[in-house]
Amino acid sequence: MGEQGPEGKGGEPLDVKKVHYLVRLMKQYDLSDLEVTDGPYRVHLQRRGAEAAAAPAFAPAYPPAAYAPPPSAPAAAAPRPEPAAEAHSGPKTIVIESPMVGTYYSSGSPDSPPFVSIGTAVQPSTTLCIIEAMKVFTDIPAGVSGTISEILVKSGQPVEFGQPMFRVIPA
Amino acid sequence: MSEGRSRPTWVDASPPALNIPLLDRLRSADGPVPLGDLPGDPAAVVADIDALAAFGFAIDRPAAGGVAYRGPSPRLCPDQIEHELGTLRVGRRLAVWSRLGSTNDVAARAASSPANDGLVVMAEEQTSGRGRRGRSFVAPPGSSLLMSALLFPPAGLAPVGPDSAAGVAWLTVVGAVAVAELVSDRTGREARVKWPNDVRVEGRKVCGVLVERAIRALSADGAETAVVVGVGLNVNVSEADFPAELRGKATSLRMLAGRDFDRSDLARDLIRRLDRWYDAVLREGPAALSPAWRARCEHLGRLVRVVTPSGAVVGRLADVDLELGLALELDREPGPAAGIVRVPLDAVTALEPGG
Repeated sequence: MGEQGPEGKGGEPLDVKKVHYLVRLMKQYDLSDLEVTDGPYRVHLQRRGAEAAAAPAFAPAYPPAAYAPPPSAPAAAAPRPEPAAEAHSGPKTIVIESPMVGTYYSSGSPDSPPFVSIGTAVQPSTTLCIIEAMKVFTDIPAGVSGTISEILVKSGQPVEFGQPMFRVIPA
Repeated sequence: MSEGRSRPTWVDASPPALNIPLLDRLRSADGPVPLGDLPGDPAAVVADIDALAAFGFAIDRPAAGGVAYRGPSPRLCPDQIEHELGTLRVGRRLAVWSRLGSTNDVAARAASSPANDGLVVMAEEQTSGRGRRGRSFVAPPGSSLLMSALLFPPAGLAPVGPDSAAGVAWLTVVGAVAVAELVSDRTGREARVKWPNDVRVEGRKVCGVLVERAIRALSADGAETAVVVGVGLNVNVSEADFPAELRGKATSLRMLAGRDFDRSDLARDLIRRLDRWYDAVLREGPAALSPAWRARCEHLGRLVRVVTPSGAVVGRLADVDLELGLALELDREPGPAAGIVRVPLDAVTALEPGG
């Protein structure tokens, strides 16, 4: 198992127990990659080895860019995402980022209720939203257990790869 | 015999299969066929004809003139669809329902088992079909093809990540191209793919394709995803069946050809075409589909407005390609080569006609 970080920016010392807690979470949910912003700290954890083979859909390991757009793409092409890592106060949360480029939808159809709202308890397999691209609608699972504390995107809004979509207070 | 008494449950668990070779023989005949010309024991042939008639096929019973096929069953016939299907994946399993919420939902529920790769779910009637966003048209029961195919494309062909939008576009195109070819072949009318997922004839929509994907697991090699390709094709639908707001905008095979179609026969044809294109992509990559997509693209050569997250580009659509994206000839920049702009598929949020 490899650990990168913590990348403290001064102030109070980083609580190592928090890191151990996150590592346990990663094992528990078989996550291969985890990034957490906690006050001044940004922690990025990665697991190696076969045990990550069946990790759920959170902080995915990306396949080779077999169909990447050509490098000569014009200015009109999609700008690459700038994953936000802004400081956030309050209880420690996990940011769930968009695993793809597309249009974000909060519900399965315009007249049905959203999959989740603030306060919803989620399991790793809970569908959080749908992202559409080229009329391919991809269900996005939570990948973690916890409670939705913040929704950072609006239904119908385009999202970039890596764009933060939800904050979840881990269970 | 009373139900459940002295009859072992493992005998005749399913009704006897329909004699589809017999059906095909009758269908292909120009007129009545003398009973004696039909192969097999006459008593068994009569029983098979009775079974076909009981299912709903319009068959004139054995009489002096022989046996005559008069028309298809009003309901979809799984035996007829599966008979000598010959596909590699799509249609390996088939489930035909009379009434469902949505064939896509039922197919997606089967995604828990990889053994269901290629499962096709069909329904005579959908109560909450999609048209995911906006107007969804509810076809009269038994009038159309409502079909969803469950597929497990390899991770490299259905990526999750920065390139996912361009990487999965071919799944929509497989459905749209297969249907457009089917419609053209069966009606003799030019069917085209309207960006990105509708099939139209002379500007009227005859079919919509809706692809839904569930991420099942992620590994170092990429994401394991289950994909449902849903097709809703208007078949034996009349102008009057469409709601007023869709008249003039929607069409059906019946309206295009001036006759009714055997939906089981169409379903078999469509499953084979889906399978062939899907297999071509698995063997050769999405590029295998680009020529057919290009040939069917409604917008090619026309002035289009392409919307991207960072603004819109207006130009003449010079090319579509699943790997290279769109090529636009810019309207206001005459000059050698300078006018061609490439837009990757994952940058396209909308493509509309006009400037």
